[in-house]
Amino acid sequence: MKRDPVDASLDERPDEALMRAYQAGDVAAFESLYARYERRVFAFVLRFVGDRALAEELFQETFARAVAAAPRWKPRAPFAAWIFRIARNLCLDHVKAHGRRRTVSLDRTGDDPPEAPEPAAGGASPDAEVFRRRTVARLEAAILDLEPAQREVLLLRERAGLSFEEISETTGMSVSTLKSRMRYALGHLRKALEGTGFDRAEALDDGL
Amino acid sequence: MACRQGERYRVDYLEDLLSEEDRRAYEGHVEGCPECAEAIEAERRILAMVRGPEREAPSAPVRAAVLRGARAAAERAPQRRFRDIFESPLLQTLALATLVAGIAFIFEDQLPHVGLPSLKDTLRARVSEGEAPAAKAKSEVARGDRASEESPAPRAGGRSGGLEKAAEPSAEARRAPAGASPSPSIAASPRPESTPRAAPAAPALSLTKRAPGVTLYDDGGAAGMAERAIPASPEAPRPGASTAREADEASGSDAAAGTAILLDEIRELIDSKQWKAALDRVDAALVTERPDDDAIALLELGIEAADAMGDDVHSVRYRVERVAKLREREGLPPR
Repeated sequence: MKRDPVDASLDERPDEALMRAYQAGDVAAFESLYARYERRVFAFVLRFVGDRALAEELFQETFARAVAAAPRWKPRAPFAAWIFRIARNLCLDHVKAHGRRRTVSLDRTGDDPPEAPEPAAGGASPDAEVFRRRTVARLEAAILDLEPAQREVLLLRERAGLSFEEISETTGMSVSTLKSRMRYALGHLRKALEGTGFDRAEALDDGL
Repeated sequence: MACRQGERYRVDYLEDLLSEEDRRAYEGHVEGCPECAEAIEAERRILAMVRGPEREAPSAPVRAAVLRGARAAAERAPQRRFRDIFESPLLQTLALATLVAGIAFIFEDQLPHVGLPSLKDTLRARVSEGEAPAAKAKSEVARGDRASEESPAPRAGGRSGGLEKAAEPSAEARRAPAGASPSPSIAASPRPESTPRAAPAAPALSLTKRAPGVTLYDDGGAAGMAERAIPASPEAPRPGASTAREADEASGSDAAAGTAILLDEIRELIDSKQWKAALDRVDAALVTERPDDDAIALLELGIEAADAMGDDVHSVRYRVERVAKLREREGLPPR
């Protein structure tokens, strides 16, 4: 009965139909749902807390709560908003209980502020790669420095791929508020990366 | 279009959410404004980095634990069908009828005798013949110890309360383990509370005594993460915007609080054209000492509100000057 969750993603039923099916005991339907959301939820949680072990714990707890609450689930809101609300509530609870937790990125080579070598002109030369890693590490740290309210909208939009309307359902905030938070978030990140030359380096478009 | 107005378009522009008309107007502004053009380019790159091409996955043990938990929960409790049974009007009527019959049965001795054979006598006769009808079990529940004194006949299964008994024809209901760990949904599913229930001899809710969060990668098969999670989630979040707001307040308002919230609130006041209220909030907020960039953001909102309401010139000039000084101190270019 074991199946690869990636195969399960071929199921074309909408999320809500899969959830209904799971309520009726169809485990394969849940596996399909899980396959759809695994990476999106994990990417959000990982970037929100900045620590892989903690992210795995919160991710597992997110789905454990979803499973426990599944019998009471009703399609009043999109499944995406529901699962991400569980995830963001857990993340915010964690921040509330433990404060900001700074961790060193795998990419980071040291705690000193990375210097900014001249970006190489195209291609992945060793210098360009060092520059990319340092800038990405700096960006990761800057994301963790954002206020949670700004961090969540940035990550729900850009890492989890939710629309602003879905984020509104997830957080209970109006779309205009969310866009304004997004604006502040981008402003803070821009400020954090100022002087690194990140805005001239083609090598950075590869992302986090 | 002014820079300040343009700033509000920037997110929509970067996210490709502007109408054709607004996009043209915004691009028209950006062409003649190096500052905005630079900001757009910088934020475009930041977004590209944040988005990134890859989506990290959790480790294989975590994935296995999640799926095992989901399977275990489904196998343990086909909750939906089980609950549907109790939501059936026919069954609720039957349960009520059983209750009434049960009460009548208990107080039968006090009712006027009309010459028919007593129901209790009939049942006692049947029990002695080895039958254990539902009504008998029901009466045991209602009368508690007294019933077992009268009838020491063994009961089939650990629970013989009215509703559990009524659900007996359902395979799902039978599969729900009597006296073992019921699923959270069964424990939480709505039941008519008017029916007296037996206190089962076997410990029923051992599940809730399980220490939460003991193991992350529980290889214990059915006793996997779903069970571990149950005590930790007495209140599962429910969909709906109002619920989201409640959940936000209940679980995250402190964490999410701070200047961003304040700025958002002022932004909402401005958006709803409550200029004066917005301005008052800005002034009140500025009484407290704040980091310069927060103060700039507050003042900019104040200017926006003051402009919109046609505040007196001195007030606006005062704010503009403060912003200019703060921007200078922060090393930001003047507006």
